[in-house]
Amino acid sequence: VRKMVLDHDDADDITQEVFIKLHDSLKEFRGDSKFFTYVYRIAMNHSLNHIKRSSKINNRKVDLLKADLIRNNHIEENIDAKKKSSLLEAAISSLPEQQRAVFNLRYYENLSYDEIAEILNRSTGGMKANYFHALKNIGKILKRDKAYPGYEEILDLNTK
Amino acid sequence: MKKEELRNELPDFINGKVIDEKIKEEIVFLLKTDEEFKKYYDELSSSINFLSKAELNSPPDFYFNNLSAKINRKISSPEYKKVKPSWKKIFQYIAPAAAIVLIFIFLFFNNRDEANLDLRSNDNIEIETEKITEQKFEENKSNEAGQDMEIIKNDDREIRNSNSVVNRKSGNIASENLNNINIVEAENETGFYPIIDLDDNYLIEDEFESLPPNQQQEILYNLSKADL
Repeated sequence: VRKMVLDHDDADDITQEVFIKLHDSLKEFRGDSKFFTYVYRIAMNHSLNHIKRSSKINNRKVDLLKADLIRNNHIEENIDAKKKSSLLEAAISSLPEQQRAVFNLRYYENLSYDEIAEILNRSTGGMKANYFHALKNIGKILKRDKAYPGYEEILDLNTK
Repeated sequence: MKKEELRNELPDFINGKVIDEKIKEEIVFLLKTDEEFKKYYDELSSSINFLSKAELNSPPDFYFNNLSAKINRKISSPEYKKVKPSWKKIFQYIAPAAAIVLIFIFLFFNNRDEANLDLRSNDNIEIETEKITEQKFEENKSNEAGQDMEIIKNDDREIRNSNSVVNRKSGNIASENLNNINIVEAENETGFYPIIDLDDNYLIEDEFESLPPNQQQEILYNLSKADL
C-alpha cells in the first residue's frame, strides 16, 4: 500500500481500512483462492480507489518532487539516496494505475504473473505487457525530465 | 513465440528470471538481429539498473508495532460497531423491501391509470356514437319529412291537375314505400353506424314504370328540383 499511494499518512489510513475490511469480510472468504491473494486484492482495490480519488493531488505532488530534484541538482553533483527515492516516487506516481499496481506487485512484492493476474482479475499475458510498459515508461519519464543526470550515463553504459 | 510476447519477457530476461531455454535463445537471437528489440532491451536495462539503486522510503521501525493495536482499537470502537450493523441492515433487508414496495406502488398506479384510460375512451366512444346516431336520425327524419312534403305536394298537384284516383293511389304507394325504409342499427366495421335497409322485394323502377307518363315526368321534374 505504501508503494502504491506513496504518501505515508494515506498509506496508514488505507492499511487500516484494508484490515478492517478483511475483518468484516472474512466470513465471505470461500477459500477458492489463496488467502494472501485475497488480502492483496483488497489492498490493491483500496489503493487504486484512493489513487483515482486523489489523482489531481498526486499530479501536483509529482510536479513538486520534480521541481525539488531539479533545484537540488544544480547544487550537488552526486545524487544521494533520498533524491533517488524521490525521483523514483515521481516516476511511479506518473504511471497509469494498472501499470503501477503490476509494477509494485512484480518488482517489490516479487509475485508471479499468475498471482498478479488473480489479484487484479486480469489475464497473465496482459500482466506481462503491463510490466514491460511500466518499466519502459519509468525509463521514459526519467529521461524526459532529465531530473536525474546519472540516468543518462547508465543508459549510455548499457547501450555500449 | 511472437516478437511481442518475447518483448514482454524482456524484464524477466534482464533480471535472470527466464527459465525456459527456448525463450532465452529466441530473445538472444532477436537482440542480435532486430534493432528495435535491442532498443527495448537497452531502455529496460537502464530502468532496472536505476531501480536497483533507488529505494522507496520505508515506514519507520515502530510503524508495524503500532499498526495492529491501531486497527484493533478502531474495530472495537463503539462508533465503528454502531455504524456497521445499520449499514448492513439497510443493504440486507431494508433496501430490497423498499424496492419491492416501490414496484408494487408503481404497478398499482400503472394499472389504475390504464383502467381510467379505458373507461374514458369507452365513454368517449359511446358519446361519439350517440352523437352520430342522433345526427343520422335527424337527417333521416328531415329527409322523410321532405319526402312526405314533396309527395303531398305532388298529390295536391295531381288532384288539381287530373283528379285521377289512380294517380293518388300511386302517390300513396310511393309515400308508403318511402316510409317503409327502415333504419336499422346494424354492426358494420365500426359497429355503431346505422345503415338504411330496403325491403328486398321492393323495386322502385317497377313502381315508377307502372305510373302514367305524365306522372313519371312530374316525378322526374320534382326530383331534379329536389336538390338531394
